Amino acid sequence: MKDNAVIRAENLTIRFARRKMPDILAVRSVSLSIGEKETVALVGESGSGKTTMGRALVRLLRPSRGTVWFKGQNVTTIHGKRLRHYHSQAQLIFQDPFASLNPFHTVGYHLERPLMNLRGLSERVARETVSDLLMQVGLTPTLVYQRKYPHELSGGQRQRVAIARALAGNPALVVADEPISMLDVSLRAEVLRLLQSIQEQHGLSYLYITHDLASARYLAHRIAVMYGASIVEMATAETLVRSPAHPYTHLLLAASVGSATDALPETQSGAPDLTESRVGCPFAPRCPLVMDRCRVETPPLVEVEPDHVSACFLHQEGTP
Amino acid sequence: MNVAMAVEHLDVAYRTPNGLVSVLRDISLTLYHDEILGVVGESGSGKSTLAQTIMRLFKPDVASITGRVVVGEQDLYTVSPRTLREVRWRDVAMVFQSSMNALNPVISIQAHFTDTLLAHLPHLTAKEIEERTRNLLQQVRLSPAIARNYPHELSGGMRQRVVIALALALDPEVLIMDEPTTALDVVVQRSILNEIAAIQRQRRLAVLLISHDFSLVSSLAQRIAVMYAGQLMEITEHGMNSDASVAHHPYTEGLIAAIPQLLGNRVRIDGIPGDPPDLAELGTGCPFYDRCPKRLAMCETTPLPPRSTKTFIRCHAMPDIEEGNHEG
Repeated sequence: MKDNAVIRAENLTIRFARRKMPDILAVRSVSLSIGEKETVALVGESGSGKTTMGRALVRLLRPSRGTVWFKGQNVTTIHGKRLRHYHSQAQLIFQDPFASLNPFHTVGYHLERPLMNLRGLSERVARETVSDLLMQVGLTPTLVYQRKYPHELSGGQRQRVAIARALAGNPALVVADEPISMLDVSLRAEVLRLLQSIQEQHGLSYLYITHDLASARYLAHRIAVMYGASIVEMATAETLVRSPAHPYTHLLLAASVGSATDALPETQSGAPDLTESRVGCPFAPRCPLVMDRCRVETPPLVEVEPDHVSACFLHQEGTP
Repeated sequence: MNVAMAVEHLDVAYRTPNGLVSVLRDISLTLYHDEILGVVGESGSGKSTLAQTIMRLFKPDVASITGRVVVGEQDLYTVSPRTLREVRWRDVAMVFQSSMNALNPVISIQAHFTDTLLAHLPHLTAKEIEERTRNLLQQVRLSPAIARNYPHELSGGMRQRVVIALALALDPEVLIMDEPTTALDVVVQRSILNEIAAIQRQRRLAVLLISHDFSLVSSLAQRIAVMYAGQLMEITEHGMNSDASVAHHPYTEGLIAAIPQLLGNRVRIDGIPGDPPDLAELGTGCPFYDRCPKRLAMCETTPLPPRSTKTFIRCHAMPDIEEGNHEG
């Protein structure tokens, strides 16, 4: 693991209790680290655990097992003042900019609150800083936008406000959970580019959560693929889309628009078993290359080449 | 190629407390047998309004509508309510994004098929209905056994497959699909789209496939109509191909440049600056004027040239474009 990691999760497990049913593990012993100024994309289908993972990293959730290290400090179980301070350091951008802004408050108010609460600025200084933030996300003239209410903004503009709000605490890490999937195509590119330029300016680290491999390839340095609560493959973005190793990544790529093939390499569709009693590889029931061993043992992440890990027994047997 | 459905000079304006707001302007397009015609556009471009107008789903007090929608010999806007009821589903069926939530939670999947079939074919026996249901479910790769199940027992992908099977129940000639897979996961989406493509080829259906996802539509459709602010800007046979030899409307070019590629070598993406216009405040000129990199002075006020050929580009800055005038 890299030494300059801003955030590092070690063997993170997050359990959700269900009434009259066995608990599920939304994240099962996942390790992930993000370096300084690095963007890691977490790609997977609904229910794969990618959002839960993101929320645990910014400590909106408390992990059931495992450790989260932020700049060398253990933040797994912090609470109260220390947690509040951590929230200024690790921010979240949500998917739906129509739901994440309060319709009764102006843009200016949305930005003043974190400046005062997280950064401890006085009301007067906070107000001055607001226009600074709006300038950074391209909402000018800033005086006009400060007074606007969310309903007066387009989806793209709202997402810019959400980004400005995330920046207000002066964070080192931003978890962006599907920040463009609700936006129109012509506006998505602008938001992605804005995220990039802000990263360069502020030296931020990003966890970019998405179901879209193409945008992950665009924004991220490394891509981690999640399936059934586990990371099944991780590599640099270019390697992952061009020479994937894990059978699930193959399936995901084949299903993505712009891939070379139409045929889907799967035997059946269906959601993975998330209960704790699951044994074996989460993808085994759908995998066209499944072996007996996959149904009883869980394959560990192994290095298939430098900076490229994949969790599949095929890598140990020979050809993928 | 035979015409399956013709939309002629469709104008739609919603009635709002502040007066009429024009949402579709002079839409003409022809859907042929045995083709998938894609319709792409962003939110507010009018693509879903188009689908609902084609099915004549708006009551007169909601929208003012002029123009014709011709299916077979009949104009859906002049036929009697009884004929309209027969034409819907038998000749033109539809699948919407939220269709899977339209399944009735308190009746079984089988009952949905029974209702649909009996409404149009009252003479079918129980055995025939069961037989047809089994075939339809198999066509969308569902086990016939799920006919006994209730909607909540099925996954989103399975429910959307049921809805597609229902749409095929009366063997329609035209299938209108508005974002049929948008709420689904990537892999499920691709597998359903592969099935739609196979069914279309098998039955030689005419499919109008409406979506916000240009790359997805361009992987399936033979022709793609691009909508912006209630107007058709272009109908192209070139999909997302943006080679120098292929001409596209400046808006279409902007869309293509905005989409990150999965495997291609183009790394740069560029958004289209600005926001879509407010439909209530649109002038007479090209609706893309404010955001267009190729605009001319005349574009602000001169209406876009009318076009009704099989493929076309409506742009004042590109008057010399050869038109694919195969059918006229």
